[in-house]
Amino acid sequence: MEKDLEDIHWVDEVLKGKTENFAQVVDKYKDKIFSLAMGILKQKEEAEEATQDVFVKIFKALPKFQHKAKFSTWIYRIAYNECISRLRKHKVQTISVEDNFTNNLIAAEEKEEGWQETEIRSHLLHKALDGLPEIERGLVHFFYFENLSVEEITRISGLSVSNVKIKLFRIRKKLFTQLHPLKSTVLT
Amino acid sequence: MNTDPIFSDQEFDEELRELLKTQNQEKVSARFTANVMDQIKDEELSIKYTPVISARTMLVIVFFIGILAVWAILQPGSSSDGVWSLPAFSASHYYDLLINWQQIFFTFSFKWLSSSAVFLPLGGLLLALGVHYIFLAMLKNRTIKKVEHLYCF
Repeated sequence: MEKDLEDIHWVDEVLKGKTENFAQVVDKYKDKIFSLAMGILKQKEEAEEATQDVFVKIFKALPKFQHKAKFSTWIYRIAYNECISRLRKHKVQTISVEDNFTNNLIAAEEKEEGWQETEIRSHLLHKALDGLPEIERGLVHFFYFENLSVEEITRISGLSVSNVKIKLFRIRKKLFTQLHPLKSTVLT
Repeated sequence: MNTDPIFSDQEFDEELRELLKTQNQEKVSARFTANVMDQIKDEELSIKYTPVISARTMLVIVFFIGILAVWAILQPGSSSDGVWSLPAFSASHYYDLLINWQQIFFTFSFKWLSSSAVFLPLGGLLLALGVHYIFLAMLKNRTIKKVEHLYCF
C-alpha cells in the first residue's frame, strides 16, 4: 500500500506538469515491464522497444488513470496489451532466446563444464514456454514471476477469474509434464 | 504470494519460480530511462503543437484566400477586358505597344496581368509562401520546435 502511495505521489507530480518526475516511475518499473516483454516477445531488442513504447503510452494515458486499481496493475495491463498486440502485428519470431540458450550451452560444453541439472531444467522450461500461446506466457509471468494474485491477473488480462484459473491449471500441468516426464502420471 | 488452493503443489510452484528467476536476468540498457524521457519530451511537444490541417490543405486554403484578397483589392472584374479574358494580341496591338512605352508597362505589368487568370493564382501563391515563411521564422525563433509541428505531412 505504501508503494502504491509512492506511485500515486509521482503520478500527481507528473500531472501537475513536472514531467521529469516520470523518470522515477520509469526507473521503478522498467525491469519488471522488460521481464514481461521478454517473457512474451522473447527477443531482447523487440522487448526493449516494446518497453519504451509502453512507458510512452503510460505517460500519455496518465490523465485517464483512475485510482480504482493499483497503479502497478494498471501499468501491467498496458504492458501486457502492448506486448500481445505487438506480437500479433509483427509476428515476432521466438527463436532468439532459444538460440542464445543453445549458444550458452555450446560455450559451456566447450569449457568442459558440462550440463548442470538446473541448466537442463531451464532449457526444458524454455522449450515448454515457447510452446505456449503468448497469452499463456503472460499468465505464467504474472503468476510465477511477479507472484500476482488471480484477481490481479484478471484485471490485467481482461479474462474472467475462472478462465485464469483454468488456464493456469492447464499450463502448470503442461509444464510439469515437460519438466518431470516420469512423475507426470502422478499429477492429476 | 499466491496461495490459491487450486495450486496445491507448492514444491513444483517454487521450482517454476526459481527457474523463471534464472531466465529473467536480462536488464534494459543503461540509457533506457533517458531514452524514454527524450521520447516523452518529443511527444509532449507534439501534443502541444498538434497540427490541425495537412500541409497540402493549408496551402490550398491560403492559395484561395490569396485569390480572394487580390480580387477584393484590385477588382479586376471592373476592367473592360473582364476577369478571365486575356487582351487581344493582334499585330496592331503590338504596333501600338511599340510606340507607347507607357502602354507597354500598363498592358503587361498591370492591366494584362490583373485582368487575366494569371495574377490571381500568382497572388495566392505569394500569400501561401508568405505564410509558410512566417511559420519558418517562428521555427527559427523557437516558438515552434520542429518542422513537423507546422503541418502534418
